[in-house]
Parts: sequence; structure tokens; C-alpha cells
Amino acid sequence: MKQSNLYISFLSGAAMLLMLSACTTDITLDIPAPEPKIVVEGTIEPGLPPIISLTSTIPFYGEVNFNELDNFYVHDAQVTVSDGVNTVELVEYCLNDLPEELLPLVAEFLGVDLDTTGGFAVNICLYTVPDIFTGFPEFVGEAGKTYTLNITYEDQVLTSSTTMFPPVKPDSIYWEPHGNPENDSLVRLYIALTEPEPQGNFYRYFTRQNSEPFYSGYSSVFDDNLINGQSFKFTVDRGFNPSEEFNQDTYGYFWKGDTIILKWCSIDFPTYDFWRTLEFDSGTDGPFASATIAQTNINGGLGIWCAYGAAYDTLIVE
Amino acid sequence: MFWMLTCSILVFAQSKYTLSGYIKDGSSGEDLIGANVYVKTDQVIGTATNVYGFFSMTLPAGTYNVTFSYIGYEDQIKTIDLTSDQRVNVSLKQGEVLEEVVIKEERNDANIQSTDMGTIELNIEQIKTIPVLFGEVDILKTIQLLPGVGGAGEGNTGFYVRGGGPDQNLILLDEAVVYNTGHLFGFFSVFNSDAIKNVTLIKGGMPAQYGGRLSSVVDVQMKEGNNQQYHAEGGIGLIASRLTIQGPIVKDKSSFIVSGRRTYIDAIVTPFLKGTEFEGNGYYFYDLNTKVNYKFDDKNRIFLSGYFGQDVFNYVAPDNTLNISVPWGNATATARWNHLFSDQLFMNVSAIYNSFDFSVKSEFQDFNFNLFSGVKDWNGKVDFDYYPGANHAIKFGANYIFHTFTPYSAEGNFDDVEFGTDTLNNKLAHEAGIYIQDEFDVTKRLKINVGLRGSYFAQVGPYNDIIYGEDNITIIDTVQYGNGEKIADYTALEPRFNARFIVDPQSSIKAGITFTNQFIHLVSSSTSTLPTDLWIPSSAKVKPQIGVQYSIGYFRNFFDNKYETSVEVYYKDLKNQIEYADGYVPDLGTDIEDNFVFGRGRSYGAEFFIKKAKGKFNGWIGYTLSKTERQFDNLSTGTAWFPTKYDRIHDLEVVAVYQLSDRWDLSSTFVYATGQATTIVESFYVIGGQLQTDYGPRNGYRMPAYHRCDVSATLKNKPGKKYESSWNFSIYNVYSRKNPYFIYTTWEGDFAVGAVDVQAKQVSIFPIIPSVTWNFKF
Repeated sequence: MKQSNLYISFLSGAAMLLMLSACTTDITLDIPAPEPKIVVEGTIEPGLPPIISLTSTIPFYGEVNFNELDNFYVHDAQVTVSDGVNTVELVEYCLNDLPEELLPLVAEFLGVDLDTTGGFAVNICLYTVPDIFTGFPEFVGEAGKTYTLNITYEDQVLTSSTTMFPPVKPDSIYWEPHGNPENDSLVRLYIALTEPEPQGNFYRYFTRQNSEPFYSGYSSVFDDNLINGQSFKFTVDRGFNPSEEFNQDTYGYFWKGDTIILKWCSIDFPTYDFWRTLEFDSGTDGPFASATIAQTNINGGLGIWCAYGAAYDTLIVE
Repeated sequence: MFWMLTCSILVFAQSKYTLSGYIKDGSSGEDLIGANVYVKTDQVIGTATNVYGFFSMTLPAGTYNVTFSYIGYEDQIKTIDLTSDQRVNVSLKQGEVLEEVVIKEERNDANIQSTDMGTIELNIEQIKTIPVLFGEVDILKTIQLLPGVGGAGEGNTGFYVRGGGPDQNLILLDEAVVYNTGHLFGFFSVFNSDAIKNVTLIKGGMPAQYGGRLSSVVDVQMKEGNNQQYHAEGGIGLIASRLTIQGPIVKDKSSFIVSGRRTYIDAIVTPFLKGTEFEGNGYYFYDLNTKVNYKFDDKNRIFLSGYFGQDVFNYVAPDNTLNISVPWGNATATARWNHLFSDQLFMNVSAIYNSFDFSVKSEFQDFNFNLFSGVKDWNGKVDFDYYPGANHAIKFGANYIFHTFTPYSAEGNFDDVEFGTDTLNNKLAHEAGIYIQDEFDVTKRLKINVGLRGSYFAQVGPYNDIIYGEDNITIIDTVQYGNGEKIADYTALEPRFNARFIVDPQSSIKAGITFTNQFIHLVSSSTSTLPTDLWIPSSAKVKPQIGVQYSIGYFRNFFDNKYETSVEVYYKDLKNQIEYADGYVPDLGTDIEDNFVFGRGRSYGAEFFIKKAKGKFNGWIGYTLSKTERQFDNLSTGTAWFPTKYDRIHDLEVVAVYQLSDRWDLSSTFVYATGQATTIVESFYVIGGQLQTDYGPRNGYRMPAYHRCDVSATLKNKPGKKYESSWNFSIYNVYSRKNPYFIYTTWEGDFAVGAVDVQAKQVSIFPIIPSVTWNFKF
């Protein structure tokens, strides 16, 4: 199991001491503008079709308005997904062209809480299967299969593949009260899991609090190197809404009365490696950090193409 | 070479006698290291004392006026009728430090005469006059003021020599290796200046007696303790206080020294943290040096010395739900026996223990977690100094080290479920070295120092080697090695060669080639030197670092050696350098070795140095023009060479000391260095509704240049009092230059609201910092 959190907390403690005498100034970096790259974010889950977002890197500092940004979304790319037997060509949909009733579904995928944001701030575009709105798309994820992705845009070709591992459902999920009795309205989510043999399984989790979408925790992936084949209990942080303001006192906790859904996903190593490097990079900064390059599994681009072997469990905190 | 030595000994073996003995400080009885002994006939014949103050020179029978001299001390000239072997012990009297009258004319050109290249001895008294951060005298920061030595960052004691990493410096305290030299994340060195006698820096032309590191040697000797009188000295500074007590146990025979230092940052800062987000953080460090010695007779002496230091960082959450304690530190112990077999053969035997530990202990509700990393050595060593004739100074010896490395070890429990890294063992290793070197005159002008070192390293069991399948993820087998069973071993021959050619009495040319092997490695994922950096041994997967350095220099003195100047150029080739792989994330579940990539390094440059060692006004100017690069096939940079964080294209240091009066000393330093190469965020992208960063080329960006000026003034009490008292007033960073410490990227807004504002920020840590320290001695 990953324990880089402590390492980070030590370093951030060290950094805090430094900051006491430090002074921070805005600077302008004198660098030539790099060529934009294509960024893939794609998922496929059991029973769900592939959904892929194609965006472009923003090669500069300063103010960025995603709607005014030219070519933020990569339009008119040729995108195909294959499971080795069947291949499907995806089509592009943009929010502005979609009927209203589909928006909550899209919000779910994108991790946007429409209740708090009141709508989409950005005209999001996605590639998915052409029969998505029938409710019964033909091409959906199935555990054990490997999905290859091919993207052609202008003269660029991007490829990737991801394998869907069978879901591992936790034995149970439960909650424990906050360690400090003064905070008796806060609770932590615990998972009891029997980790299957053999060694080499990887997991990513998301939680859903009441009507919110699923959010991942700041440190959302695990390997089984230290826990292979064991039955054990552990706690996970509440998935974090990126647009929510960080509050140290409540971070990671749920509240009494919450309905919690845990989404516990088996993932392949490249998916694990991408998220752990991405999360480690955004979790560290300062003199003690070095640039951790997120390990993409996209040849010719950035981002991630991942299959989630997802299992779900629900808990009502009473 | 043996044949050559034997021949030359035979030739010189007729009607010659040996003059030998010890040179000491008259008032404290401390041995003087590197003191000169010479006679002037048609040419100057001389030698210097070794680290125990011993000298020996063999001359034809005759009557000589022998001069004994040491910088800062009054010369002594003795007339010696050398008709038999003679033992002469000399006590020198301390003169006014750096006064012109004290310094004799002929032998103050050691920089011209010796074969040493890139070697600088620093006297601790000299170091104490140079201004430093918070008034804490620091030998490692003074070393950074020399050409070819780069600082690891603002206020940091970590240093880079000629493009080598911080782990490539062999830092010895009374022969014990100090693995981590910094307190408080490197802002203060572990060397308490009150306990230190002498510091030697060797940045090129490393003699064969030293091994195991590629770039440099910093050889630090602790004081032995005054064997004449009891003394106490100490100081009260802004953030730390010091106290040293020394004195005779048996006068002239035995003495002791105890020296301690502790910070009180915690006491000062804690009240200010209350109610802030930093509340609950605490930090302090302390260190303790002790040494005793006993002289049985003129031929036998023993020394016992030890160092213990710790840093402790702790955090207690205000509501007590989280408790973290992070202690780390070094311990060393050295036992030495000096024995004189004859007037020409000196031996030292040492038994040394040293360790560096770093641990994290945390309690979070019912979850306990402990992390430990460290290194521990048992070291046995024997060294001989053999002086067969005036022309030869031979050193030979051997050493053996048993290393125990713990790159990571973790254990924890949650309720009654325990987990641990017991599958990832300690790494054990044998390291051995054997060497011989001789320094001799080939002609009147040409002197060479030639040496050869043989080294051996073996990683041994018990150890479980985990074999991964083709996917590099699944474990397919574990190979178990038994107790002492060899896992991998390496042998190396390391020739060392230095030559000096006298051009005229004022100038010489020197050249050297040094082959070195390094079997242990420090891997760092940070841009600074930190206690979390890990020491690991060479193994089947990790090959030894190999270095070759070529250097040539021109040395010239002006105005009766008042001004020493030199130009040295070097080229250094490094193999098997280590970096973490691009996507490295600390992970206790894997063997650290599986996260490395290996590559090459090269460094070349020119160093210019001008020094005025004498007079009321003295100091030096050093300038280095250099380039340091690495190339790693398995990093994203591929076959391209990229600058390292050690790369400083321009590096300038100016040190000026002025003795205003008997009571006032003024000093100032100025440093300028090309900005550190760093990797910066070049563009951004959105994943999971969050802004992510895409980095530019590795170390592709230069931070703004580093420059700073410090000044200090020291006021001593009137001479002639029973006690000495001095006030040191210093100002760090006089013009409050905002030097970059690191650069980071931050943004406001997010994808969900449709807009972000991205900004690069620079953090500077030390603005202008005045400080005052009171020192006393009685």
C-alpha cells in the first residue's frame, strides 16, 4: 500500500518552517511557447460505452478562459476503440448541442456538480459511441478484455490500450467517528477488503456523497505489494471536489446522515502509474520536490485511457 | 614502483640520519597539522607534519639550522648536529594571526612547491572571521567560497565539487565518514567550529590514501583538547549556543575536550505559531563532540573521539489526532592508536563506527506507522607513513568497512493488523581498500606523487532478491541469499598521479590524473540536499560510479609570496551516475533499486584564484567557468546531454578580511553564481476536471543568477585580560537580494468555473538578516 502521504507530510512540514522566513514574488518565465499537445481522457467500465475527451495543452501562463480558448477541444478527430474483435468509431458531441435531460449524465462523467455550479461553465465536447442515446449501446466494457484506442487528427496519430480487470468488491464498508469527540458530526469511511492473489493488482477508488458526482481522493490509487492476499481494513479519504475550497479540518471526512457510495475499481498498471504520478506531482511542490512527470499511456500525446473494473457499495451513515 | 622505491632507498642509505618528532602548539599542546620543517643548504629540503603532528626527514650527517614553521605561529630555528638519529619535539608559539613578521620568506610558497592540486587547508581561526548566516560559523559554507565548489542552494551546507554530486564528497570527521552533513534541512553543518582544529579540502588529485568517493575529500580533524590548562569557551548566538570545555587529564600526557551545541529555534518560534496553520510544529537540533587522548610514551598514543548529533522535527495536531515525530542524525566514534616503529616509520590504526539514521514515527488515531532509513558502518583501518629519505614520503595502508544500508524500512499497524516491509531487507556490503603512494623528487624541478589504490566491494546476504516477470510488475520468484553469501562484487584499480614542475622560483606547473571508484550512492528526488535522500550500495543492478579527472594548473606567486595565484583547468568523466526514473514516486512496496536509471556525466572548467594570505588586509578572489552535464538513455531526455542541478557556468567569490585594530576585525564576502538549472512547467492541461502541469525539458530553465554580499565586524576585548570575549556583528545578504530558492506554478479558478489564471512564483528565503553572537573563552 502506498505510504507517500507521510513522506509528503514531513516535507510539507519542512517547507512550512521555511515559509516562515520566505518571501514569494510573481515572476515571468522567459520561455519560448511549446507546441500544443493532444490530451486524452478516456474511460470504459463494465456495461458502459467508451467515453473520450480530447483537449489540447495550454502552452502559456496567464489568464485562460476555456470557452474563448481557440482549439481547446480537439474537434473532428477520427477516434476508434477496439476490443480485438469489434471496433467502434466514436462520434463527437458537444454540450451546447445536447438535449437538457442528458446533462446530468454528462455531469456525472465529468465530475461536475450541477447543483453547486448551476450548469456547465464550459462547452464540453466528448467522443462516444453513436448509439449512446438509445440507452442500450452495443459496444460496452467487459472485464477481461483489452481495449485499444486509435486517434487520428490532422497529421497526428495517437494510440493506447488498456485492460479491464475483474472488479473486486470490498467485504464491507463502514464508518468510524472522528478521533476527537468534539467533532462528533464527522465520520471516516473504512473498507474491509480481501485482497485476491496473485500479487500485481491495482486499485483506484471514488466516493460519492449524497447527490454529488463521484470524486477520487487526493491519493486515489493503491497497489497490493504489502497487502497481497490478505484480509485487512483501512480508511480512505472522502473524494474531493476540485472546486471545493480546501478545509483541513473536514478534509477526508464524511458527515453523519450522508449516503456514501464507494466505487472501488480494479485497474491495470499503466492506469495506476498514471494516477499515482499525476497525484504525486500535484501533491508536492517546493524546494524538496522534483518534477514528477505523469506517466501517460498515450503514445503520441498526454493523458490516460483507462478501463475501470468498477464495483459499487453503499453506506448510510446514521 | 616497488623496485624503484627499493633502489632509491639503497642509494640513500649511507651516512644519513633521521630527524623526527612532533610539532605542537606551545600553549595548548595541540598537534599542528601540515607544519613545515626545512633546512636550507644549496637547495631547500623540507617536509611537513602529518595529521598527528609527526614529521621525519633523513639527511646526510652534518650540522643544520632547521626551521619549524606554521602559518600564524612564530618560526623556531634550531641548530641540530645530526650525527645520529634524533628526536626533536617542538612547541610553536602562536603569533599575531596572519601578521607579516611571523611569516618567513622561503617556505611560504608551499602552493608552488608541493604536488598538491586543488588542495586547500583552512585554519579554523581563519574561518571564524568570515561572515555567515545567523552568525553560526560553518566550515562547509566557507568551503563554498572556494573556486570549483558550488553551493547546493541558499544557505545550504551541501556542496558540489567540480560538477560532482553531494554524495561524491568524502566528508571525514576524525576519519569517520559523515553521511549527512546538514542540520535543519542543510542550513547548518554538523560541524561545531569550536571543536574543530583543521579542515582540508581536496577537489582534485585525490591522494591514494583516500578512496570510495569521486569528487572531493573534506578531512576534518577535531581538537585534541588542551593538555596544559583548563579552558572553557563558548558562544551565545541568535539561534544556537555553544559550550566547549577542555583541559589536561594528566599534564603533557593526556587531555580531553567536550563540546556541545543546541538550537533554541523551537523556543523562539513556537509562541508565534499559536493560532496559525503552523501551530503544533516544533524543531530543534543539537550536537556533541568529545575526544580524549593519552600519550603512553614517545612511541605510543591513543585517541578516542566521538560525535553525536540529532535533528528533531515534530508535529502534534492541535486536536491531538495526529502526532508525527521525525528525528534524524549522525553518530561517529573513532579509536586510534599511533605507533612509531622507528624514526622513519609511523603507523596509525583506527577502529571507526559511524551511522546515519532517519526515522518517521506517526500516530493517527488507531493507525501507527514507523519509517526508518539509514546507514551504519564498522570500519578498520591501518595507515603507515614511511620516510626513507629526504626525497621520499611514502604512505601505504589498508582499510575494511562493513556497511549496513537500510534504504527503507517501514512497519505499522492498524488496530490489530500489522504490516511491514520485512520482504525488503537491509543491504549489507563489504568494502576494502589497499594503497601505496610515494612523493619524490625526480629532478630538482620535477616532483611526482604517484599512487595506486586497489578497491573491492561486495554486496552480501542475507538478502531476498525479488525477480519480476516480463511485465515488471508481478513477482515471479524470490532468490534467497544466506548469511554472508555474495550477491555481487566489484574490484577496481585506481591509479593516482600528480606532478609538479618548477618553472622558476615563483612559479610551477602541475598536472594530475585521478581514477576513482565509488561503491555507494546517494539518491535524491529533491532539488535540495535532505535527510530523506537515501544511501544505497552498489549491487547486482546498481553498478559502481567511476570517475576520471584530468587536471593541469599554473601556480605563480608575486611580491615575495604575498600574492598567490593559480589557474587550474579540469575535465572529469563520470560513469554509472544515478537518477530516479521520470515517473518516480516514493513507494515502500518496491525495492528502491527498481526505480533507478543510470547514465553518464561530464564536467569541465577553469578555475582562477588569487589570494593574499598576509597582512592586515587579506582574502581571496576565486572565479570558475565550468559546465556540468549528464546523459541518461532511459530518461525522457534520451541521448541528449542536459545540465545538472550542480551546473554553475559562472561562479565568483570574493573574500576580504581587514584587521582594523587590535580589537576590531572587519570582513566581507561577495558571491555570484549562474542560476540553478531546473525543470519548469511549460504548459497546462485538464484531466479529471483539474488543471495539470506539463513540464519542459529536464533542467531546461535557468533561475535568475544568485548573488549576495555579507559583512561582519568582530570586537574583541582589550588584550591582556584573563578571559577573551568578543562580539560578532554580521549582516547576511546586505542588499537583501531576493535570490531564487525555488520556482513553482500556481493558479486561481478551475475548469468547472470556466477560467483559470496561471502564475509562476519565485520563493526567496533569506532576506537581509542581521545577527549578533557573543563568544567567550577563559
